[in-house]
Amino acid sequence: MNLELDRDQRQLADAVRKGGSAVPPGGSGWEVLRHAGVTAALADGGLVEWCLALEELGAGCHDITAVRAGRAFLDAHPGERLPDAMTTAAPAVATADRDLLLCAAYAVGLGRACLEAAQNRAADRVITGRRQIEYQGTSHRLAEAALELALARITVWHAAWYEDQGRPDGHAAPAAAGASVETALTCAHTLVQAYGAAGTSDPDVVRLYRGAYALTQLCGSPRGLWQTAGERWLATA
Amino acid sequence: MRPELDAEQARLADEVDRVLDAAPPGTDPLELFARLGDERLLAVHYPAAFGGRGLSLAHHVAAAERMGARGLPDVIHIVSVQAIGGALLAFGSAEQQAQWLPRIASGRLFGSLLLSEPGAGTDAAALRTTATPDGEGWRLTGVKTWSVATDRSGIALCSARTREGRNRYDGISLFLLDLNDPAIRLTPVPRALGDPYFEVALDGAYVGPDAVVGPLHRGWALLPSTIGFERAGFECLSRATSWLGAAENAFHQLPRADRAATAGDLVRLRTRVAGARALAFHAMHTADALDADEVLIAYSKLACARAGQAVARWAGEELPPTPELRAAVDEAPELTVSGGPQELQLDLIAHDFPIGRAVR
Repeated sequence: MNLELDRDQRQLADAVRKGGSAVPPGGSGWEVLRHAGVTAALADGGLVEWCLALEELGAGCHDITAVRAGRAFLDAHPGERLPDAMTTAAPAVATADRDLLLCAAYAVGLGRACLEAAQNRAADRVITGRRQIEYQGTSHRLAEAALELALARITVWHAAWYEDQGRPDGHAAPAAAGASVETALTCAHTLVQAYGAAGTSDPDVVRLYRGAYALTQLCGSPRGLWQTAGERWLATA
Repeated sequence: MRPELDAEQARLADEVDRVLDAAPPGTDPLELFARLGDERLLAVHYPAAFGGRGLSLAHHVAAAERMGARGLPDVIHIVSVQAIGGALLAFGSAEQQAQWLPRIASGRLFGSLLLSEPGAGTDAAALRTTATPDGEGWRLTGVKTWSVATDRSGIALCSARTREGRNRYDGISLFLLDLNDPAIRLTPVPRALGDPYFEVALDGAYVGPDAVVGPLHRGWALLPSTIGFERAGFECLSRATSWLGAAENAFHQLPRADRAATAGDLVRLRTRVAGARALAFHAMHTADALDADEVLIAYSKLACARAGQAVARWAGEELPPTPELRAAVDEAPELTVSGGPQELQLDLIAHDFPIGRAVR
């Protein structure tokens, strides 16, 4: 029992992270995957690999509409190759659990980007002669967000792993999405707080902040997701 | 990445079940530890020569987790096998290892930690206990407190100041004490719930030179490893899991409408406990022998303690009280300080810049 990724998985995540720099924030996540040269690996990979890629796309605030469509294509046509180009932007079935898990992974990435930006700002910003991060009120808030983020990532990975094993847990996808969206919102608020007044005008901060709230449209509200997870669990308990 | 026990871990957990199932109902927990020791299950990470099986920490925690789940008092196990045995494995002399580890692994010798003192609890470097040279050995004088299961222990690992150091961390040494020494007096400190703590008075207790564990005067540096298991949060995880089970039982007694309204809360708690468990096992999986990543341990401990506290709070707010849930509510605050205050865990996480890298 562990959280260790294998070498291929780490390489895939690294490649997508690097590929993300070739496409501006808000740009096509599918283009990122093509730049990263990982579409073939993803076609052969499981949902865990897709979730690793989606976390990186979330960290870059890339548009994942076509990526979700690609995954839905593979689900609908098992064994077939992914097309070279994704011309359709038709979204995958939003309610499908596997799609929900991709969105949850994306939320983890977005939350991670918020946390990274927040701590960078707190490390540079000086408040009454001290770096902001030296204040325990800030550093502990960042640490709390980091813990929450780690736990959300675990829920996503676990749910994806069981999907890949052919043993999906009925309530795991909405639970993972609930944890992830909630965490992304927490991290977004932490980011805005770290920036202070600048957080209301800095375009990068605003994009992440709005991106976190957009997740509630993409996945549903955390409360609703937990409720869905609860209803499903109750039905089988 | 693997969210469940591997085959070897599962086999060990099953072996624990078999040993415990074979014992007559009502068997004393200490006798159960001895039966587990007979099967070399109590300390599978010890070398075979010391009563273990030469397996990894990750294997050990799988067996230990099952012992806790079956209701064995895991604080005894954690302190004896993991903290004291771990310190001896890592820092003890060959003679100390040969003398003590087989007895600990056999489940017939238990130990306590004597680190905290009145006024030096979470600030263990503020200790006043002294060890002064006496012939070839040492005489220890002082008062220790917040020690658990001391009345069932035969030995204790005790910190004492052996010289005025260059700073407050220098000059602290660790000693292995025989608790049968008449110069050591135990006074129970009753608690509203659970077994008492013990205050331990050391009235010039004599130990020989072979009682020093690790380098003289530099014992402080050994403490993180010594209490690392406690800090990994397995004790908190055990309680969180047990309390969650009690909460689920009470939940299923609720009227249908109440169950429907609160099922989401319960799943959220189940998810938190599962995440904490994953972090705790991962911390042990990545440990190099007995050397676990301090920051990862902090995440693990914090997650386990918070999960247990969240379960207890929810149960206290939402569920009809049962004896188990009342106990959970009463015990939950203790998770804040067990193995180091949560503020310390947050500091460790926050000082590992960039924050979050230890769990990526």
